[in-house]
Amino acid sequence: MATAAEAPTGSTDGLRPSAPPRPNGRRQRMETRRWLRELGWRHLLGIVVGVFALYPVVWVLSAAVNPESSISSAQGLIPANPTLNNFRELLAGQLSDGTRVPFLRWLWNSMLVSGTAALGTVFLCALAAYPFSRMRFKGRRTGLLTLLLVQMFPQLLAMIALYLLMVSLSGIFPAVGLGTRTGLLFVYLGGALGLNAWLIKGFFDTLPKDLDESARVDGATHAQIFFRIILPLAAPVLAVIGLLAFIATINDFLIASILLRDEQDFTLAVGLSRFIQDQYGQRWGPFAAGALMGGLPVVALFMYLQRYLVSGLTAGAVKG
Amino acid sequence: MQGFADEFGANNDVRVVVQQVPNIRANLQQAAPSGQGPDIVIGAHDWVGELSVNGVIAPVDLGGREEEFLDVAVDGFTVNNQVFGLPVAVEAIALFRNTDLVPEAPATWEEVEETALRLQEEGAVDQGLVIAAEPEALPYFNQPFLTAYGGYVFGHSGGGYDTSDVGLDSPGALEAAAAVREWVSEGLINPNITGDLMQEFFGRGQAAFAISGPWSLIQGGRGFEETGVPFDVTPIPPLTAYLAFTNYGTGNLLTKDQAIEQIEVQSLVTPPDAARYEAVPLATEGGDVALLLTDAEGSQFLGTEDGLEPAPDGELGDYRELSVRESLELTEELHDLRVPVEEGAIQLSTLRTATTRVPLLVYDDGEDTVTNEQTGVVYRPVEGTFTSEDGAIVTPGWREVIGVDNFLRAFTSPAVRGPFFRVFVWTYVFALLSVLTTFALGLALAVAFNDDRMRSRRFYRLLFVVPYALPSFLTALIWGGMLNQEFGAVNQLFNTNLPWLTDPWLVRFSILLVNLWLGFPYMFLITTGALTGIPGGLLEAARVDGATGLQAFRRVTFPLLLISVAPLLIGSFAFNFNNFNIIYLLTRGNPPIEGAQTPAGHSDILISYTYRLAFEGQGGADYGFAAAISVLIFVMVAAISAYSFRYTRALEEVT
Repeated sequence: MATAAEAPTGSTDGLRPSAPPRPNGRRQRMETRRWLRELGWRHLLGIVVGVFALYPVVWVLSAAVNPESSISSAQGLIPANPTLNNFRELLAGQLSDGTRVPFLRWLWNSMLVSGTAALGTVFLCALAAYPFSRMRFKGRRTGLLTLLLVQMFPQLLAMIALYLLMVSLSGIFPAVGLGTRTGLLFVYLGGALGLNAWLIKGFFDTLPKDLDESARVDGATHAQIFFRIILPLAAPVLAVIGLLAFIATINDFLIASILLRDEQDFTLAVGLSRFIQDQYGQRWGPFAAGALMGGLPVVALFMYLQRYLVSGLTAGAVKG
Repeated sequence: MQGFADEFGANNDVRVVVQQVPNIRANLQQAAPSGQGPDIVIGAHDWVGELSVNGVIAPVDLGGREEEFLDVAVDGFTVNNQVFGLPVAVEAIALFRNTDLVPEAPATWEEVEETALRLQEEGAVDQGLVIAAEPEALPYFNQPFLTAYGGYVFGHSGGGYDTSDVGLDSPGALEAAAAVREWVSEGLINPNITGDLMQEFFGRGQAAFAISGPWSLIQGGRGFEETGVPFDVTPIPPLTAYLAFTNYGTGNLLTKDQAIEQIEVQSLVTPPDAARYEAVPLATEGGDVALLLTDAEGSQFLGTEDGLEPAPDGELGDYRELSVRESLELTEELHDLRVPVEEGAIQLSTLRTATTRVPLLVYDDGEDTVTNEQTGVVYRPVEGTFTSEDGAIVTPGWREVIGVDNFLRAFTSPAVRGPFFRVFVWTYVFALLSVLTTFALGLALAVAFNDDRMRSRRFYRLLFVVPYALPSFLTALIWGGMLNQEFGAVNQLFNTNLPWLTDPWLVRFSILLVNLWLGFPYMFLITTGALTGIPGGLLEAARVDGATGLQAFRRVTFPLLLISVAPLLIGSFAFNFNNFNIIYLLTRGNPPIEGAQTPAGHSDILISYTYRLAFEGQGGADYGFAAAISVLIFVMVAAISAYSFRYTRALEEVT
């Protein structure tokens, strides 16, 4: 499937019956009526949808700088006396009413767990994909199909089994048992392998085999071929998989909420949702500030990598 | 609390951590069986029934000082003649009265009713009387009405509550319910008032009366003390506040060994004439624990697991006295130490006192039965619970394989089947409509902006991608605030007062709207990608043959597009089928389905329903039933995926 959404292509517009594609520079000379008919509605649609897309974000921004932390006082989009108090309170870890909020700790936990999970996922999946792509062995086809089948069972559905498993594990290896971030990390790593390994294997298949064959003639081992040749060549697709794994992990609420016990260990998703639960009335301002601080790094990363994403998306990955 | 903890910690050289934890009950029941529970929990007395039945709390010994506590407080913490908590505070609800609006305290409830309605009609207040009635009318606040008419929850016989006598359908309770309905229809009670609104109305002087408790006084700037509203507190006339007590719930959370241990520990009773000792914890270097006991006459004994022997002049042998810190480290061993004596066993009740305790229920290893020593009744294991011949059971129970019963329950039990079926249907509708709406908007945008003359395409695309880039858990929480009925931006923007998240139908619309916001960028991106992949020559040819724009789109572009995006649409359907975040973080499945026996709400999809069954159930988590449902979900998702394989031809690529 063609994926170059960036690349300007020829006349692919399905709605324009007769007019041949025009050079962009001539728009100014187009009659107003014709402009309205052919391009104006597109802008109108874009603006309406743009407002729909941005309104909640703007509203959160307004609530975050509103001096009143109560949601009922968030009247109008532009608060009269904007203040950064909500941000300060969160960063200091204590609200004005004395409630302790380990916000930075949550953010750090999220970044730590998701970052490690993303790196681990990419590395493990690449390891798994290499033999499937480069070697021929008994059980290869079965192995590939098993990967796909296992992937069909969403990790969410295993929540009860995972929980009970971690309970039992606590008795044997408390360091990775219930309530530990390490345990959560292992669960994430286990859940992310199937489809991603499959995608990476597909990309490895497109790399010419001649490369590793000539390397092997020169005496390279499999490990050298994997680390020196295949991994550098696959860097773009690995970045996309890593980003998708990162986003899927940072978004996870369900598993983190089951496995984490201690407030100090919460990820941002668990921490913020518990923080705001049934307290929209009183904690809206600090929550909005937290949402901005937690969301911005992810949005920035996403925007930076989005052009790579389109190809990843059309290859079948779904954002979680 | 932190002060006490710090002081205790400093005095005894230990670290005491005080934590505020949400959902204490559910969390405790998850954490305790795995040995991760806290040492001390502070909670309301109405948790005691559930927690003790599930075996996650142990009885406490008030050290013979029961008299120093209010009877009602000790009573509240007593289950089966065992006291499970040390009362620290008693709170009740009362009538708050705005003294500007109503200077004199009303003497009867009818007077409250009359005054509230009059002020409301005169327009002096928005709502005469405010009482938290949303999202669920809590029995806690309605208890005064219930008892005023002679209704009750459980009957009270002799030593405690009689759980076989349920009074919710007694004539008095029915009368009370009819009266409340009458008050709602005449406008005295507004069923849309939430706890938040109650606080706002009375705090701002927009209500004459409020029924609430002491927590309303100080509340982060919104408390009645803080807003400066002039008020007085009186008992609710002529009703008496009376706390609800429930002892509902049967748990099978533990393993059988844990359950037996709990049964024996919970059945240990201290006879009224039991001997009490002052105790000093002892241990050998090897960690064997013992107690130095001093009885009422001042005689000293050494108590070990072998028995009691006189210890004149504090003769300790190999044992030495433990400091408080050391005792705390060995606390489990010390409390497990039972010094056998003729009547039963001497056991520590605090770290400094010990009493003779007699087990009521005794487990027989050979027979696998539990016997009540007093009555001689024998209980045998039946489906994970010790049960007597006449059907009486001993709690807690334990986990046991019960075959396919859980699957059958989903289809046979009417109270379960009703909500399950509704949740099932909504899951499909939700996933299908989510895909259709997001795809429709994404496609419209992609078509509109797939035009080279649109120079600002990149800018628009950046705008559209924002919802996709924002982590979805934040999206759900933010929209939860925006759709809030009282304060939300949506109601403010359109100047409406719609119950976006609490009406059974509107909540579904809201969820689809939020999911549209969340999902259209993805569809926009993939359809844009697919559109650019359609060869321009095909459209050129269609035009030459005289096709109009719409025809070319319908006959050429759309079919070609569908071929490449269909697998992604199916993937999106499967994803939304289990889209837990949006449902749970936006609505938590609410509003609840009336009469459902399991925690089920109008907006629940199967995955959130499963989560609530497993981790939020009252009276014990239903892991078995929840696991059965997740297996059913798997079967459905597997069917969808198998279907999508035929499109993607993924299997053929396996070469």
